[in-house]
Amino acid sequence: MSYFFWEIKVFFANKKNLLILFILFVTSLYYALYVASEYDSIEKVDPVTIQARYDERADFLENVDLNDNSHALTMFAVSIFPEWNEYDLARLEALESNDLTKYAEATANWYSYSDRLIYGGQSEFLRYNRQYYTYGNRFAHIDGHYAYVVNSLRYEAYAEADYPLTLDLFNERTALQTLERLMGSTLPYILLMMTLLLCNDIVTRDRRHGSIVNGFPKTPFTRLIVKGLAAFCAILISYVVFVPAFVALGLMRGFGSLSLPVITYEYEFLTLGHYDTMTMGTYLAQILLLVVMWNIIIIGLILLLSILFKNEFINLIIVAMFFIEKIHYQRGGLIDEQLAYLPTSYVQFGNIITGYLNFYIDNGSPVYTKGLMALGATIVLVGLLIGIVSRFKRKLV
Amino acid sequence: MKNLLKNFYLIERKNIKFKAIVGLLLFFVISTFIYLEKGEFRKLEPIAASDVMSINAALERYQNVDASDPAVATPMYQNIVEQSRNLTRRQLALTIADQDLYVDASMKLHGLRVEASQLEDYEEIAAFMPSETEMNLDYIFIQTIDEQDKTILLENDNFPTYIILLFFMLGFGWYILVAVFSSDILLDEDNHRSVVSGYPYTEATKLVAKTIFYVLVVIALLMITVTVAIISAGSKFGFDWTYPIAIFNGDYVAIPVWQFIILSSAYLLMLSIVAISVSIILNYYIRNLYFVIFIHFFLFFFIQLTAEISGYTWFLPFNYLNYSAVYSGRIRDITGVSFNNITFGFMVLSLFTLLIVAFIYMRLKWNKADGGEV
Repeated sequence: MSYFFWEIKVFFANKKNLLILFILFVTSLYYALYVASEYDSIEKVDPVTIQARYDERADFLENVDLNDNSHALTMFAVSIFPEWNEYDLARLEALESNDLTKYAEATANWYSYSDRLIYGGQSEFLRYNRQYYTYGNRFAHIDGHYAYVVNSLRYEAYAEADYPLTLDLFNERTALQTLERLMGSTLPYILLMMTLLLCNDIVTRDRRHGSIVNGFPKTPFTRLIVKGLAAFCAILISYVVFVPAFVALGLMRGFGSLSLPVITYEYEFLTLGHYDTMTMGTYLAQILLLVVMWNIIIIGLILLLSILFKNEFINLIIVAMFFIEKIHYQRGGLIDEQLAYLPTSYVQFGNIITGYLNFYIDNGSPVYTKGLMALGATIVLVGLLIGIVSRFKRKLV
Repeated sequence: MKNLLKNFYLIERKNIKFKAIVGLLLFFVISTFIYLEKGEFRKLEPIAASDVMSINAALERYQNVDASDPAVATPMYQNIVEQSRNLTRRQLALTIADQDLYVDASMKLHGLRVEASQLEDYEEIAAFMPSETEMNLDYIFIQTIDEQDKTILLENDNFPTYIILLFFMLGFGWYILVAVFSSDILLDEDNHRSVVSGYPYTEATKLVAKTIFYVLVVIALLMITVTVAIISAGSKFGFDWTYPIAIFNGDYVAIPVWQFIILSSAYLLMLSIVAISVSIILNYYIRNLYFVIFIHFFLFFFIQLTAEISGYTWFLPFNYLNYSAVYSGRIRDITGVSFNNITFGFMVLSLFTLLIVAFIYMRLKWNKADGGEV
């Protein structure tokens, strides 16, 4: 047991580790204070735009003069604008009277009605929020569809919420929502790299002061296992460096609630897919499981490679694992279903759980349960390999 | 010196680091082929489709009026309608594989885009159009194709596209790769100190020999990677050495594939030498492998971190470490200074290397005078 604590002590006394943790601490705090707190969502609450849209359409409806020669599009507009305006008016009134539940209700209706018209109806002439149509994005229209369905479900959940609603919640600026958004973009890579860099030298550093380490009354193999365990615990402790950033953001914009909705997408062949809602608590628990499994894999691989090659550089090659998925999961490309059995396909934690990856590559093969199996099998395999290799290598450290 | 180099070779050929990097590079070459096959990298049809989608979104900002009547249509509106017409023509040209139509539509499109960028309200629709650099590169490419009577490649399963992809990826990663690889260039002597101090040579000779050894190894690695990639691409797609590739070099130029390969390889060689010299100087002062690697990364991303003041720091060598950003004009876009090109990069980087060499030389001299150790 004393060896376990000694390992953890060495881990946090390591100059390199302290530097990494310091960099992470500073950047995360900076991000929380200056970037995340000013997050500008495309679908933010924006009464000015709603008002402008409402006025324009109300004006049109007042002045339009329908007769037999009217253009078909004019007739179409006259038939859809009244209901659309009704929702917009409800949104404006709710914002004015500060009744956020009512706003959520009207907004949910607005999104589902808009999506029905824009995607399903005469889509040639209607468009989603302009910000989706940036230069070079061929998938802008379907991106807009995804966002509108997600938002309509999100606001539906807010309308029935038992937690207090705020504008920051609607604008996705609260601490938990920021965490969710980051899990769908860069945070998984940061966490994986962090584990790799922090644990990279857990075995090889012992070669420098072998006489101290050999003083512990343990066999080399037990030492190796305890080392892995200690590294794993140390990584979990290291995640504390992100807590100040989380708390800072929470104090500025609110923490959010564990029962916040997270919208998931399920791929269905030849349809637009199936959307569902899960709570933030479930989402975070599932993320945690993936993070834990990946950490075990990385530490296991570091142990294995260190026994085999005894070189810190070789361990850095594990980085390549994190980006293999980028090679074959490209948007618009042909997806090989078998690739979902590779553990490396499950790096984008957030997008695996919400199903955004399935939507992005338009394929239903990489799903959460399959990911757990692939990662679990990898853990077993790495464990077995460590067992076998350590039996045949004379000197483990 | 020769003996020393041979000695290094004998020691290092057992070093797993060297074997691993060869494996990594081979893995890289294989993955570029998979990447090309799985994705839509530089396929013309998706690009044309996304252009149409963007311009339609831009059109939506304007009221639908008669574009031929200057009384009701603003110049920008007329321009966008014309652009949309030419984009559709371009798409049609791809469908019926009519190259003349494609070239004609692209040329007209470029004229309209330039015209649009000079109008007052360009800011409003800039997001729906390619950046200035992108459209100029596109234009020079089409122009050269037309002048040289080449056939435009519609798909991406061909030699020139592979070469573009290869050097795009290598250009991004090469500095980092060499930096990590060489980051313990002086530190690894600590691992077998008794062997090293046994050599009957001065510190200076040992250092020079070590540097030469690393440079030779990196050159060999680069040559092997590029050769293997080119030969496998050639045997898969067939060689095509004269297809034009558009790059930014102070001006927008389109050079044939063989020139692009030579230019890129030379630039990457320069980058390797810079990375190794920076590693040496960092190793002097910092005896921790990871600190050296972090500083390398910091230098590599220097331009992103200081984007706001880059107008004043454009001449620093760190702006030239990312080759693919240099030749595609992205660095120029950030700094706004057209000196941020390949030729100037060569000069700045060689000057920087010379400075480092001079500095190390002085250090060694002082050390000798003090009787100290490196």
